[in-house]
Amino acid sequence: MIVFFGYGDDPPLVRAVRAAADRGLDHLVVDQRATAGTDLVLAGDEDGGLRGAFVVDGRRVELERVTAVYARPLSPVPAPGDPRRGERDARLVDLTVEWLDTAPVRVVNRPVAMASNSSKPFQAQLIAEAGFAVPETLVSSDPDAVRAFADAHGAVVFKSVSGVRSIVRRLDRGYLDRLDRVRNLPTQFQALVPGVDIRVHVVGERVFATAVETAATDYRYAGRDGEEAVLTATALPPEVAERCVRLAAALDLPLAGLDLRRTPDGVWVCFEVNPMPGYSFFESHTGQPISESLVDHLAGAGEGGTRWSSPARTAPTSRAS
Amino acid sequence: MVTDRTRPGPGARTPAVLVVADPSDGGARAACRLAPAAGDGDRPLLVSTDALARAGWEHRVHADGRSSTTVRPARSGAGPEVVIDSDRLRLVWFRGRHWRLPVGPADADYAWSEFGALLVSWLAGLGDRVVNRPDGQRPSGPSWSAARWRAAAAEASWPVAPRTAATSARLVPGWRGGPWQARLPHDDLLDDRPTSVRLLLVDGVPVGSPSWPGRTAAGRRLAALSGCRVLGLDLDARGRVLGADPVPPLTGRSELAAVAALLGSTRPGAGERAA
Repeated sequence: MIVFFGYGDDPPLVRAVRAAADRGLDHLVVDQRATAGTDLVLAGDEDGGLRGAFVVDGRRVELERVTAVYARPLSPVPAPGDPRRGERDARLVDLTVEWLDTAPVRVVNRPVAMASNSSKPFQAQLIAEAGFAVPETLVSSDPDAVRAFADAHGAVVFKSVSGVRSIVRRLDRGYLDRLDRVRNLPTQFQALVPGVDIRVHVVGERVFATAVETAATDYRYAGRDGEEAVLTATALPPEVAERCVRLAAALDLPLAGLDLRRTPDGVWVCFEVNPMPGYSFFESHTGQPISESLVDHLAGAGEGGTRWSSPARTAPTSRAS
Repeated sequence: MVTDRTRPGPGARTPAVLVVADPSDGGARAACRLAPAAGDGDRPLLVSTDALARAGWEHRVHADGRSSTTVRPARSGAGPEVVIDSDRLRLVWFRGRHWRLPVGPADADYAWSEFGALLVSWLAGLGDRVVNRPDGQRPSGPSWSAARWRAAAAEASWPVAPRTAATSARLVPGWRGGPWQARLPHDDLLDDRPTSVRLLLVDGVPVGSPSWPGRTAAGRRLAALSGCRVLGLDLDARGRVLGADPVPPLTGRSELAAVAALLGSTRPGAGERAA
């Protein structure tokens, strides 16, 4: 059985649930927006074994029956009425995340694996280990160091280090005149990388690439900037596709959204690996069968146990970019 | 080519062994005082998290993923300038939990996240020259839940405390209570609060505890799984793991001596990541 966990109206979840239903796959939806009749019980033994069950509107599903999970856990939804409901909803998320981090089943994605995305320069070092170039980056509280960086690289952007309030902006004259503000908080600057944005969704060993053409600095906010973003399905060179699969696997992310840019001289630069990608936006524009591939992966045979090969990294839940 | 960073002035102290801790962390202070000087005569330098938060930072990640960092804490009194240079560091033990940046209340949470993200990147760039490996969220070690720690302990062959938790207590086998409590969450490790004992592991070895024979192999395995050379385990009365903390309080002579020895054990070039 496949479990889907998250907001019942969240488009990436909706598409995956529909794909599972279309295939006639046994599945359970745990909808965080409809939890009045939802419970979870977990029991761990001395050897680390874990048992338990979801109970959804009277239907009890033992966790031993679950073979895979696609989870997009988000903040509990405030619910009027029973004051106990808020406590139960918060505990539902906490216990589900605990289970997702340790369950010996196929999980997309384990919360513990998402933590690398909480620090962009931290993740950049991991990305580079997989063979991608990353943007030249300076995080500094020294205005002179920033000016020297800007002088050396010409066009520079700045963005958050953690991903909170994450909007990419050009370091233009207006911001240069206010650089003294970095003394209060080290800020991340990057050399602007010219080229074409390619968003890649990795699902297991499958790769779906989308070219994004826009004049906006950050295509995610093109509309806000009064610009258009045109999405087109595209193909990657085999070696680059392999690198994407390797990187996602190294980060223990069976589903990952990679933000790449192909420079005019053919260098592939990776900006970020999104651990909870909003693939539905890209699927709806290009027709790429990402949700079907995701369900194929969830339904696939094979070991889905916890990886202990590297210190686990946890991350906050976040709305997909 | 950008000049990486301004070189430290003559007379500046560029520590090889650095401990970062909250101002209230008396254990860190005591361990630094006890730690022997390294071969080059350099004693561990203790810097507070607040001092780092107010320091001058230049942290670079290059296109090939190499990182380099210079941190200049504000000078205090007549002491020498301190420049924390990633090239010079042989070992960093980051124990801080709290940092305050000079921003207004509306930006405090944001600034906390931003600075934490910088810290994890800096420490990750040092490779195995850190006592506890950071993850993307926590500079002092993995930001695991108690459940995850128990799972790791079990993987390392250390018994773990059984535990039942539920979103509604009525689902717990054998639970008895009234109708109101029946639909409140239950967690027997939180609600029943079993007596716990704290055991310090240094490089996986239990410190000062001859009553835990045979646990060294499990401790070493857990240290490897978690990337933590210093780890505090919470154990129940039967020695089963309840949880763990990468920033355990340090109390008692044997604990302080063990971590002091770790701080003083660095060898020039030991564990340094290739530039």
